[in-house]
Amino acid sequence: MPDIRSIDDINKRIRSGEVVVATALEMKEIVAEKGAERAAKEVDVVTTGTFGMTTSSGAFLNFGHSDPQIKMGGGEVLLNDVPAYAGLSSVDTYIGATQLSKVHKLEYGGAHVIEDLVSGKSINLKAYGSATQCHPIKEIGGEFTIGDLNQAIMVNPRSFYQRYNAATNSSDAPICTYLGTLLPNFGNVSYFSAGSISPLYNDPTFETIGIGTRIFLAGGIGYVIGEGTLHNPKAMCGSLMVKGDLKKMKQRYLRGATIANYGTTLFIGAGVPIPVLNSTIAKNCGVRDDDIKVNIYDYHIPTRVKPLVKKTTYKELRSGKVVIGDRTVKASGLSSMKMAVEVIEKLKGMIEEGEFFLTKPVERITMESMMRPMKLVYVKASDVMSAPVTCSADDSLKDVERLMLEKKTGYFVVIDKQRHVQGVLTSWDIAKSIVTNGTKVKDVMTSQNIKTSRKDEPVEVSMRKLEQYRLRGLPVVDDEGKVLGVVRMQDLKHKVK
Amino acid sequence: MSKRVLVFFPSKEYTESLVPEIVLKSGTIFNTIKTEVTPTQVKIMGEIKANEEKAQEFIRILKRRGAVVKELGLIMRFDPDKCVACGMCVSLCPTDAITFNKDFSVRYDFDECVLCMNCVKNCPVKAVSYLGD
Repeated sequence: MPDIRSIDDINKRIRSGEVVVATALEMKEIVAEKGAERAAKEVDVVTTGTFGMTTSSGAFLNFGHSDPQIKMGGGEVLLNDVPAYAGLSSVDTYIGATQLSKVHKLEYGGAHVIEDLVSGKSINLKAYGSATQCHPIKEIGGEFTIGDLNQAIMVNPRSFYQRYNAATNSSDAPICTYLGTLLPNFGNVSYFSAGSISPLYNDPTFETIGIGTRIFLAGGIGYVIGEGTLHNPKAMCGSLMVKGDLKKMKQRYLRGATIANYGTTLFIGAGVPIPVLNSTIAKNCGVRDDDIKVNIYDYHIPTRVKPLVKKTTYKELRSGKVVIGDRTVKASGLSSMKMAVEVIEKLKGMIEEGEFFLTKPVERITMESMMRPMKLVYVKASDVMSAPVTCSADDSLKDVERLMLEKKTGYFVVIDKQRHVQGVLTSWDIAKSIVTNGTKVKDVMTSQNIKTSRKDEPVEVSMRKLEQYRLRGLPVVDDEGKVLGVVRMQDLKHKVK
Repeated sequence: MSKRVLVFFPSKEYTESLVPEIVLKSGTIFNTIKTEVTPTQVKIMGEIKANEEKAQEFIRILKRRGAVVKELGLIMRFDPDKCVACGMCVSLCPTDAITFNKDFSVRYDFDECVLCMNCVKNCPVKAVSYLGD
């Protein structure tokens, strides 16, 4: 499509007060009602935004030199007892959102330090360094506020992440994840993203958003400085790296948060203006929640690849109720729709008032995807398992007791003819048979809720199961559920470093 | 119309027939949702099914019989200024006490609350708190 206006034209119209701005929500209605062609003619700029947990975020701080000087670089820096990165020069540091306080742990983290800085609160600094000729002091401590810093620059390696999975939990116990608490037996569904008003859904091919794009970042002005980490635009999972002046930010759009039993993170309200240069861009801005597909995964499996529970859309998630099987399950997003709408309205107001001008990117964001799992060799359950001692459910207990003495083991896997796990028999079960007068294995074996390990499961996962359910062993099974071996705590203690 | 309350009776004042007796005498329906018995006190969480006037009358009778009565609307505190409306609590709430308003802000109705504490434990910005006990 040929361009009908340029960014310079738009900035002229902002200056003269004639600019027509629509929020992403309004634009969807305009495109649906009038079509992309007319929408492009009528609207100059669309404001998009999110207000979500931005875990990959933080800020560079510069304290200025002390007298006598200290070399924090290579030492240790604590801000309100939260460790900050000390691998920079003598008085620079980076405070990251997820770093936990050494004292308050989950209650307070880097994200809270950043919020307290922005709200003007006094922050306690403790720093330790090594004494050198030009930096003679070894430690320094005291209070400072954001006004005392030379620079406070937010740099977030991953912002506006387009799509997260939605999560649910099929197990019988609640689990705590980065998507919050997931209640047992598909008790709830949790998801991120502002859906169709989120910037990258409105410009999925990065036509207008590029390096140098001026954005609204937590109440101040920020810039896109490149693609973000885990940037995967081909799978509609783009992300951006952004920076902004922390000193100009407002607490309303920047809040430290704790995800229960998980960690700390930072809520950031951020908005991106999309210049409507042609009708293709207008059409892209017409994207609706029912166009955006999301997969719901079962998060009780702690491996990277999780079982798919349902394919759905943001429309169903946003309705607050998701149908899983024959049940209706409550769903909620951890991205605030209320605040995201406030961000896009605020940005619209700023452009209309002539306080915010658009920029032309100096370079385009790459459409190449780089998203591979971590390439590390890990120890699998099948690497540490020992040969299983098996019996069948119809064996007599006498035979099994003999086998027990012979093999010097108190743990049996009860299998059928196809080597499928039917149950587990331990010396404790055999002890029980003295009272219950059982004569066959099936009379005393444990057959309900048998926990197993998959053969390629990392041993850490097996170890967690053993501890969590207080088990003596775990049968290791292949993809068809056939027994290959047994992982026991003593195997792990010997073989795991 | 209903009002949820926490009622604390010292063990020595409490008998099992006490609440049914008060219900019969006052003619006001009181649903017991949860009862917790400890050596020193009996804690009953329940719902008074009556209009405000009758509910207050019922609370007065409970107090006269030695109970300490706390309304859930007063012991659960939701601070809308702290809330960022992320919605985490909405799907964790086992009842309809927490819902979204039309403008996507979060609405708490403590007369639907069962004090499960899911919201208190999970709120990322500590916008909801429990002031009871």
